[in-house]
Amino acid sequence: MEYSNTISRREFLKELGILGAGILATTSPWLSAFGEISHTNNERCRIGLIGPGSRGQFLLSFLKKNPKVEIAAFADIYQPSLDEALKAVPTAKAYKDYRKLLDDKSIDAVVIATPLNTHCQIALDAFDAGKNVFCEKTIGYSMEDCLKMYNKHLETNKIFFSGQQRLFDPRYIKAMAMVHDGVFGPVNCVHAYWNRNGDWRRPVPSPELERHINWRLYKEYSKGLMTELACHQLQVGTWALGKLPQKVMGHGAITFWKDGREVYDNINCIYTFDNGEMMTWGSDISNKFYGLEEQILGNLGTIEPERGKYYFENIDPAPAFLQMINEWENKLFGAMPFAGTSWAPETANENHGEYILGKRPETDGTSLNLDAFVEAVVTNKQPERIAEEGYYASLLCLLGHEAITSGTILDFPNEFKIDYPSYNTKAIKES
Amino acid sequence: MILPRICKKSPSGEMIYYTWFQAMHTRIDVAIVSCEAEAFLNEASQRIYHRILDIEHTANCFDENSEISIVNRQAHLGPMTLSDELYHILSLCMKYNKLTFGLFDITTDSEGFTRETITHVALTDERKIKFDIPGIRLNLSGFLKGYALESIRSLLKECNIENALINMGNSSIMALGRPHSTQKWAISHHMQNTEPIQLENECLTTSGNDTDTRLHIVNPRTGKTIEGRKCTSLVTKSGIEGEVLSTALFIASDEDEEAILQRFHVDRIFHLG
Ligand SMILES: NC(=O)c1ccc[n+]([C@@H]2O[C@H](COP(=O)([O-])OP(=O)(O)OC[C@H]3O[C@@H](n4cnc5c(N)ncnc54)[C@H](O)[C@@H]3O)[C@@H](O)[C@H]2O)c1
Repeated sequence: MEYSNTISRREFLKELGILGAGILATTSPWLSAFGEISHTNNERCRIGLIGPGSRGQFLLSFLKKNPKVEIAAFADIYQPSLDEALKAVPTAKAYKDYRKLLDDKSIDAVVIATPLNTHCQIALDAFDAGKNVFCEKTIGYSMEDCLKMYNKHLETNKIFFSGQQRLFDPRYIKAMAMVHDGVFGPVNCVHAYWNRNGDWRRPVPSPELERHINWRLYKEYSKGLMTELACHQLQVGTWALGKLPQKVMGHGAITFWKDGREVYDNINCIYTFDNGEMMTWGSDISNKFYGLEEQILGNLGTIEPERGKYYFENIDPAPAFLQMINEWENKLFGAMPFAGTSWAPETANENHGEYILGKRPETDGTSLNLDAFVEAVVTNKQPERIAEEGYYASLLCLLGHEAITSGTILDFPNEFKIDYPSYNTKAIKES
Repeated sequence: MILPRICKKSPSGEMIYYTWFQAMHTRIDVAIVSCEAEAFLNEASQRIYHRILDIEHTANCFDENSEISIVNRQAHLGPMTLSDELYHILSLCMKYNKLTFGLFDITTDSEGFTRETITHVALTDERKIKFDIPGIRLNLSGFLKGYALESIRSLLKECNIENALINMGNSSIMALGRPHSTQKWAISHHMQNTEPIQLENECLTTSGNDTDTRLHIVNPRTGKTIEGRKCTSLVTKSGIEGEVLSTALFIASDEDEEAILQRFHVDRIFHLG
């Protein structure tokens, strides 16, 4: 099986190059999911996919490649989605009502990729039916929903993952290890944004399907850009800062796409932390020039993980030295190619940065996120902090939304704080 | 200033520690292999950084507030008292001028330079300097990196750090100890397609023309820049001698080279172009 080799933990860690196992364990403890990967080669995990729409199909394409996965069933209220899914896996059962899928005792786990407003009930029912749950982000439509889901996971002791794929993206993992190791100095500010130029609509085959297809534009289903986009990036900010914000403020408006939608097309939020650190999140979907990024600003350097690069404030590290550090562990390094006549200081003025992984990013963490979920299910071990990251990412975007709609500065509500082991990192200790 | 750093620990507890910064008109890379704690190595690299800033403040002629710049502006007006460090540096430069038959010369930037110019620089035992004629400009660029390397060597020794690689702008490299017990430091030359140069307690110094249009080394005998030859690299025990000799041998005729090599020990020498 070629595939299981490609996901072996060692290969994955090799991608991360420079990192030692110690720093990975503190920065991204959920990677422990891959700890027993080779011992579980004969295990199988039967999965039911609820909501095989656009995202669901994408997840399916990865699940299908994992030899430990058997796609047992689909559930969707929309026949065309079921038809599409059955094309990919004709042997799977298909249900209109997800509760029928949950009745199948042979199913170990469900992947939920339905619109936001439906996540909570489906997940609660799934936990109650004894299933392990992978739920797309944002996990719940309200903070109450999220807490109910999290508590149900604790109560049933079932595995709980969410669709925060950056947690498994090698360039994020490596960047965070460097941040937590103090390489860029204390992080004082994170600027995250996601800009697009488009109406965010999907084609609708007939008018009565408008809300079903374009659910993300309507309040009943979604909280728009905050829950659909901010969720990922706010998590990156708290991951970098190693703590949760204390206060949130924000403003949102429908500025450009006045087309009957009910959710904002233009948003800015500020999250503030105990030491005065800040995280901003903005989105404007009438201009795409700056695209998306999470700019992590430390006093020694900047990271732009979306672009896959980091930049030092003064001069970049020398590539030959970086290579040597990478190779040092293997006691096998080639010569360092740099001797020659003088380095010219003029070249330092163009700060093009370095690729975090030494090359242009190629994938995001979606497939590893799913692989980790499957491993967690077959070993029946919930990796540390993965459910909590999903929970807090959801809370932060929902809190931002509430700050916008109420027009007030909100404190992080105590009743929604859950046990969240803090990151014990150098950068944070220094700050 | 907090220096950036990247480090990696081996299972045996040994660490490779890397820090880098810009100073003395160049970039400086410091890699240390050690079993000491990271905080200790942070401290050591801070000391290196501050030592380099001190040297820069004393002897960098591109900094108009440095001691050497003040000397360049005022020493023709009357005797000036020098700091211990600048006096030491200039004494060494005068000594190496003689030992290289005048080929290593810190006065080539002076107005109306001839090979006699340096004889108008008067250093006295009371740490004083005077220029007998106006227009003299001392430029220590061809000396300072090697001097800085030797200063770093002393600092590392005080810290009991035995294995390190220091790179001053690619042209002056000092390799102390080894990165691993089984391996020396291996450097390859980006202008030369030779086998990697293996170093252990040695310095690799290169002098030459950066490009065909940036000719900056002057032959004191002719007062002209060197054309045709690209660069000269050599391996020496001392960073200072590496610096002095790479310049002198870049300029030297075959006979001069032979004569100079009788006075100094150069382990390996490579001429390019
Ligand atoms: N992690 C990511 O990067 C990412 C990217 C895109 C979408 N998503 C998330 O995935 C989820 C789905 O988004 P999408 O773009 O695929 O939406 P979609 O509309 O394309 O798909 C949703 C599917 O769920 C079905 N559905 C709706 N209600 C249902 C119900 N009650 N029971 C069963 N099926 C039901 C729909 O018919 C549809 O097939 C959302 O939560 C979204 O935020 C995550």
